[in-house]
Amino acid sequence: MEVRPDEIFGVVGGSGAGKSVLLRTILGLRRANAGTVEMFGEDMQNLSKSRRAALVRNFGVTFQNGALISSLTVAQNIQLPLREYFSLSEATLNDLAQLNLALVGLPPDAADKYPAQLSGGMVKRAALARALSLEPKLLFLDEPTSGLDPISAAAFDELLLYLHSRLKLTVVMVTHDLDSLFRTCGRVGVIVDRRMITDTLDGMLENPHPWIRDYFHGPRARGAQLAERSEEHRPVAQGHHG
Amino acid sequence: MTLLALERNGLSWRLRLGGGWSLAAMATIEAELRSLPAEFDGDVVCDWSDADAPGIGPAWTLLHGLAERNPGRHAITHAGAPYLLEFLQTLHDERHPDDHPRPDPGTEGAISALGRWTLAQGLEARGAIGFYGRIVMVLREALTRPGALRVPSLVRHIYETGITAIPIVALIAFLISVIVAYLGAQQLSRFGANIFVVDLVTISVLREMGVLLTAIIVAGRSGSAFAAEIGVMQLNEETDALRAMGMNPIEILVVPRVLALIIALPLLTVIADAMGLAGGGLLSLVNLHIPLPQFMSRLRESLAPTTFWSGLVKAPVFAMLIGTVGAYRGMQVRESARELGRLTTVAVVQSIFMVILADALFAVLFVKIDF
Repeated sequence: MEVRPDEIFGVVGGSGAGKSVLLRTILGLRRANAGTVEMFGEDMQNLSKSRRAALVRNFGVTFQNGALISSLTVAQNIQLPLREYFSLSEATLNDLAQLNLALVGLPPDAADKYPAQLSGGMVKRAALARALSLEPKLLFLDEPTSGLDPISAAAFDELLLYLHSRLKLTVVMVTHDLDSLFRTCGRVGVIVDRRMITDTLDGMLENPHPWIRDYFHGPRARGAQLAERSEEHRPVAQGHHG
Repeated sequence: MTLLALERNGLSWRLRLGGGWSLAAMATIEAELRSLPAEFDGDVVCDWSDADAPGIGPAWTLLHGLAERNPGRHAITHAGAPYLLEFLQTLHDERHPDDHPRPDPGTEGAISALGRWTLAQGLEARGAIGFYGRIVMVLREALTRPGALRVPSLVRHIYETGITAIPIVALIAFLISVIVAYLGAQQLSRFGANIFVVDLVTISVLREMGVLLTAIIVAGRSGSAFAAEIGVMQLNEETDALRAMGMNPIEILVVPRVLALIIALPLLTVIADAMGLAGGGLLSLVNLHIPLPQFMSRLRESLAPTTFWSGLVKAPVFAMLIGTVGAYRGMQVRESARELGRLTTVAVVQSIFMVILADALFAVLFVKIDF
């Protein structure tokens, strides 16, 4: 699998196919059994500690359940990596927390709330705000719309496209949400039969593999395609190269 | 290269921005922002042509800094800037952070704080009493419906709180009793009263130390485990799931644990007593040269009929205190990992405190009734 700069890349696969394992391997949270992971031209498996620490700042991650630190407020969660890597004044840290909240469309007063006080959609947004706080060029999202109602999920898709176009982010998104996939992703990787098949969405629709056909032509997929076609605009993802 | 350079340009200001505007340069940016005049009296043009790829964070900080110095709402425009800046300026204008002042947390008066605390204590006391009540309800129900006792779960908890605790309880009872006998012997030998070491060990171990040490070890092992197990189940909404399926979490989670402890702690106490006496006997043999038969006969003489029972009778009471405090604190866990840690600590500290308090009450009671 190869992710190109400036694209939104979707990863799909059946439950237990290894999507999360793939993501964890890319992030360097586990060692690959075989093969290599290269990020920004560097082999992630054989990096010195200091190189790795420097590289980690270049990407942001959100986990499936948010993984916000529950004993810290949303603002403190956002400021956590900033405090770790830079010495900034409190006023600036608050400014930056407000910036990231504004970017993900959370109200300013969300800053002082604890993760337990937030709704599911707000947790996902707050997690995205934390992932954005170091201004990464590359973003990994694990099931960003799972557990959200269709309206919140659609809003999250729009947010992602908006940030993608404004901040020139490259996004790798593991998702099961077909609506989200059709709305945001340019290219898709499907994990099937223990390997990955990469193609554009249109290419995937023509793919003869039975699992892929079931996935992209099942009853739920058809609804998602219809919704997308009727909106008459292709993903912004493809409109903002350069 | 300086990051900020301000020039007067007729009635307006020209702010020339240069160098690397990245997060790493934030400290310098903060310092240079402070050197700007306190108030702008005209329009400001920011010239970004010399700055390379400004980051959103630094740019946002600049916008915020400029807005603070611009009470007159003069126009702030950006020249030579990437389109990112316009996006940020729009975002910033939409929601100025200063429009939403944070509530000041330090204004609460002492009286309202006291009131809040009193109310919390009252609710806490009511909650604890209600918790005991619900345990008693389950026990009453078990009289008519034996299934409410959950025997498999009970057995598992007896194993976990009792059987697996035997090695550590035995070891500690043995060692403490050796220490008491050793120190006692040093004092008593001055009076040539070596033989009374036996009385010292027997009475202190059987009446107090056997049961108290066991209770404290069990509070540390099992009280904390109860609070943590039930607490994590609370965080995972497992207890809510049980309730939703029409099952009583008190019956399923709390009562088996408390009953298991009530059964296990007296048995552990007997083991601790035996190991304590063995420790005393060994030290008497090795250090004081009292042969074992003499130790045994002296032991029988020093024992009153109630000595052993006055220790053992306290064990179920301690067990109930440890079990209910641990389970109650576990049931109180809400929302966060920090709560879990705090309440687990509270469970251990409070159950040890309760055990010692109860022990003191027992001591007074036994003296009064001459037990």
